[in-house]
Amino acid sequence: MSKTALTIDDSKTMRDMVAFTLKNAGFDVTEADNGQAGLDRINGSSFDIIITDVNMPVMDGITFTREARKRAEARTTPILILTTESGASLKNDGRSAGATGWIVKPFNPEKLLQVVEKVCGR
Amino acid sequence: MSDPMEQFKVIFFEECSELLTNLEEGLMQMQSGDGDEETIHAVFRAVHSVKGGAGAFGFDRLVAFAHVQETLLDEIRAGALVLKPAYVEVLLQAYDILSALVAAAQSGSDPGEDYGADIARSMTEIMADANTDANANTNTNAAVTGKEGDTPDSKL
Repeated sequence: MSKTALTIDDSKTMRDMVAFTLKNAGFDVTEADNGQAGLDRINGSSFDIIITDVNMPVMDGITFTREARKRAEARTTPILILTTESGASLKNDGRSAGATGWIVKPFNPEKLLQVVEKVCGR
Repeated sequence: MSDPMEQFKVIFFEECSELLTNLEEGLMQMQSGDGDEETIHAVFRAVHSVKGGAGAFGFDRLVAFAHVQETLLDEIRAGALVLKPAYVEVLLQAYDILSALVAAAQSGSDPGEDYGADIARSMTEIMADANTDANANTNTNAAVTGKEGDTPDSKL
């Protein structure tokens, strides 16, 4: 059975690139364009991995991570934050919110897969 | 099958067109005084998304310019810098440069080595002036309270 991934990004370009990379690696991918839509997707569904952007309308990725950790479906799911920002304060915010890891853009398919495989134990 | 990165590039430039429209509309609202906090956030996100996508495709000139613009907008949205009409004028000029750099990336043309350098410098100067003002205020506060090294609270 395929592993499942949720990718959350307001940029269609980024969503498509992440989804393409993960589909090629055998994941069944669900997409959302902001944190609230991401929360709606995990309502009743559990994913093997979640990858989220930080800066998004409606709900940002840090708030999404914090809220997702309150849901039984995502309490232990690896959550990776994919962003252009690498500042220590944002990393700390991500860690405090419950993020598993951090991938700094520019987007690189190999780098993404390396981290995904590491946290998913593939 | 065509190169997937080429397909993503097409999507990126379509997205840039929408983002630049959002950016211009937001800046016009800010210019007319109709903008609110969400307008600033939306303007920031537009530049941020252009930069994020450009980085994935190696459009380095676009990334470098968008980075300066994004940093200035980040300071405004964080409240570290109080928005002035003159800043919006510079941001509107920066919008023109960003649009031209997107077009150049799409067509593969070279806009010239120094293209946009003057506007990037204007944005950097705005941030430097704001930091100087903030430091002056901090020093004044430290003198009043007798606590050296206090800095204003920073926002995410």
